[in-house]
Order: sequence, then structure tokens, then C-alpha cells
Amino acid sequence: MSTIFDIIGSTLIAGVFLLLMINLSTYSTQSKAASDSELILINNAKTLADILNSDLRKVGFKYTGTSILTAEPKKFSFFSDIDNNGSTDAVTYTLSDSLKADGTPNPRDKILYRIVNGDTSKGPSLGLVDLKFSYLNQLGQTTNTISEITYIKTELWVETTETVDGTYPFTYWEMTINPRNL
Amino acid sequence: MGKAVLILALGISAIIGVLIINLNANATSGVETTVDMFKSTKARLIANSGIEVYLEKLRRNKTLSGKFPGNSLFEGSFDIAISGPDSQMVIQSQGNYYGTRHKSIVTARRAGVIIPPVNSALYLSAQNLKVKLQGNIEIDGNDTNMNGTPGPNPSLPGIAVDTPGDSAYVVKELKPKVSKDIKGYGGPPSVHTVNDSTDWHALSEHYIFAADLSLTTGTYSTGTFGTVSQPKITYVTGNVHFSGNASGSGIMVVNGNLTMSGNFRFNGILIVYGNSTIDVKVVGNGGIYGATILVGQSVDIQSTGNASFFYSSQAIKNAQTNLKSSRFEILSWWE
Repeated sequence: MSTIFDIIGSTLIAGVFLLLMINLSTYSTQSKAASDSELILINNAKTLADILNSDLRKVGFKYTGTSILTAEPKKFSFFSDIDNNGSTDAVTYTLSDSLKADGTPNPRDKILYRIVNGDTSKGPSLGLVDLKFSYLNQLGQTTNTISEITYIKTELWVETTETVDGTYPFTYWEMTINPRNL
Repeated sequence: MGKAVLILALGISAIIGVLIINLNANATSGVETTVDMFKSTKARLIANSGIEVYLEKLRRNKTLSGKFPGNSLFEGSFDIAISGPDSQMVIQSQGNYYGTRHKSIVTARRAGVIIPPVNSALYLSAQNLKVKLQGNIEIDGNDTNMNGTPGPNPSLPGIAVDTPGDSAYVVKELKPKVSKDIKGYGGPPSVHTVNDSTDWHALSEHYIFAADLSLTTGTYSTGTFGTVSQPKITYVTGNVHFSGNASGSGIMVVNGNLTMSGNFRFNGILIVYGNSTIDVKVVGNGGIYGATILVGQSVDIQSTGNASFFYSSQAIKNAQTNLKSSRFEILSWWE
């Protein structure tokens, strides 16, 4: 009789330990996934910021006329010799609608279009859900007058492309750039 | 039972260990992303600062050119390369910060020197004017080359002043012997009023900022303050006495009293400027070819020697062509 109790008892204890290990393994997998997503989120935000940072600093480079074409909250166009090859390029930044980023589970992410001389080939989503340009004059005041623009403020809202525990963690990136050629 | 517990404990430890390693790796990567951003920003700022540093050096050293590697700044360094003529100067700066590099390329043009409006051989501008010209002084508004031959430009007044009252005063003070040697537009004595609205203070500041040479109070009996082929902007702070065989060429701004004696010779524009009284004494055989401008609250000019003040468009043009300012116009900035 005591042998039966021993077997039942040890089975229960083994089951408890087994469940514990399964839970721990699941937690470990989820934690790593969340951590991976967060890392990807940070890297995506940095990549987007690097692209914008590099290009916006070149607004008006080797262009003598009015170098800004369009200065709207969701669209910014300018002239610059963006690749320093001696010829002027027209560069436009704008945001797609969310339907364009159909390759990711996130229903809200969009694609940042970087259109150089009319080339509209699109890149990956990188989780960008919103983008806002605002424009400041020499005194740091908001302006809509193109000739007065001295600083370009860019705000990025980036989410993970994959869900993490049913949500999409997000990050916000803001930078204000003073293109020296303006 | 003991073995089973040991196996379970090892299994749990392994899972937790793997989890911790993964989380640490991700945390490290996250920090690296931030650090990379910081490094690239810092490298960019160092590169841009390097350009600013060398623009300042170019302001002082107007012939600076070549490669200047390994300049330390903000715990990093920058390498500079300067090439091209003053009209299209290319300054490349590579900022280095803990292995991260950033290159900035600037093209700049050295702005020209501002030449003041020249309206006479000798321009006197003061609320209180005192003129005592004796000896064999010669003031000639007829355009004269630096070698004494006639120049191509139309004649200007020998002496120009601001008001008819000043003009009448100067003519009245001229002795007949001197009067005939004030030549130029209208014939002797060539003394006329001109309408001059030049901001002499701002203009003097411009020259002081661009000065190639700075002289302090004293007597200079030797020395060359610029030559015809390499004129200079000379700024004199305080009272100065040029004597002996001292000479100069370009633009000279004297912020104080001026005494000329001996054989002092200057080609270009001589400006004696001050907020209060200016005393100018001319003895000896000195000569100014170009234009002489005396501006102050009170101007007192006395001459007893054989000095000559000639309007010379050639000397002025030579200064304008060959002098370099210390201001730069940025044509493009790549960063």
C-alpha cells in the first residue's frame, strides 16, 4: 500500500516540476521575444532617424535657389545634390497609408517614402506608424513661410511590426535639424 | 529521488541561464545602438567644429593651406585638408571619435575687402576742423600713378570736407604759396564739399577684424607695412610716428594721432579715425599715394615739410585687388 502512495506522490511531484519547467520555458521564450522585439524597435527607429538625419542636413546643398519645395506636416520636398555627384536632385519625404505596408502583422504601420528624382520604389516598413514635420524660423518659432525656414523638426512614432503579448510596443523619436545650406 | 531533483535543478538552471544570456545580449545590443548614435553624433560635431576652428585660423593666416591631421578635440580628433583658391576654398574635415568617423566638406569663398568711397586726395571730416598747412606740401586730386605719371581716372578734389563752412574755412586758412599746390578738380585751390555718409566706425571695425599687422603706440623709423605686390591691412592702435624710411602699402587704419616725418611713403588708403580729437602732423618728405581720410570729432592737421598727398586710383585698385579680408562666405556645407 505504501508503495502505491510512493508512486502517486512521486508522480505528483514530478508533474509539478514538469509544469514548472514548461512554464519557465514558455516565460523564457516570451521574454526573449519581447526583448528581441524591443531591440528591433530601437534599431528600426534609429535606422529611420539616421536616414532622415543624413538627408535633412543636406537640404539645399549646392543649390542656389529656394531649396525647399514643399513644407507640410506629412510631406517635405527639397533640392540638394544629395549624393554629391554634381547634379541637383529633388528629394521628397512622405508617408504611405497603412495599406501599403501589407507585409507585416501590424495594421497601423506605414512606409516612409524617400523619393529621389521621381523614383518611388518603396522600402520596408520598419514599423513607422506616424511622421510629422514642423518648421521653425531663426527664432525657433513655428513658420509656414518657406523662405523663413531655418530648422526642421521631425517626429517619428515607431511600433514593432510583430505583436508582443497582443500589443505593439512603440517608441517616439524627435530631432530638430538646422540644415547649414539654407 | 535525489538524482531526479538534481536533474530538474540542472534543467531549470540551464533554462534560466539561457534566458539571462539572451536578455543580456539584447540589452547589450540596445546599449550599443544608443552608443553608436552618440558616437556618430559626436564624430559629426567634432568634424564640424574642426572646420570652424580652421576657418578661424584662416582668418588670421591668409595663406594657410594643406593637410593638418590629428587635432585633438572633445576626447576625439579631427583631420583637416584645405585646398583651392580663395574664391573656391575647399575645407575637408574628418572627425574621429572612438572608431567612428564623420566627414564634413565645406566650400567657402573669402570675401573681398571693402574699399571706402574715395572722393578726394585728402578728406577731412570733423565737427571742429583746424587746418594749418605750411611748407611745400602738395595735395593733388588729379589721378596719379604710384610712379608719378598721370593716372586714367577723372580728377577729384584735392581736399574734400563735409560742409560749405568747412570749405570756406580751409580756403581762408591756406596761404597763397600753399593754395596753388592744392590741385585737382576745379583747379587750385581744389577744396570742395562732398556728401559722404560712410559709417567710418563700422568700416574701421571691418579693417581691424581683417588686419594683417597690428602696431602699437610708438615711433617707426624703419619697417615695411606691406608692399605693392603684397599689400597689407595695418591697424595702429594709439599714437604713431612714422619716420625715416618706413613704408607701407594697402590700407592703414590709425586709431589715434599720426605724425609723419622723414621719407615715409604709403601706397593705398590711409584712414586716421577716432571718436575724439585727432592730431595729424606732417613734416619731412613723406608721400601718400591713394587717398588720405581723417575722421574724428575734432581734426587738427598741421604740415611744415614737403609732404605729398596724391589721389591714385592705381594704388587704391592695387589694394582692392590684392588685399584679403577675414570674412568667409560659405558656399556649401556637406555633413
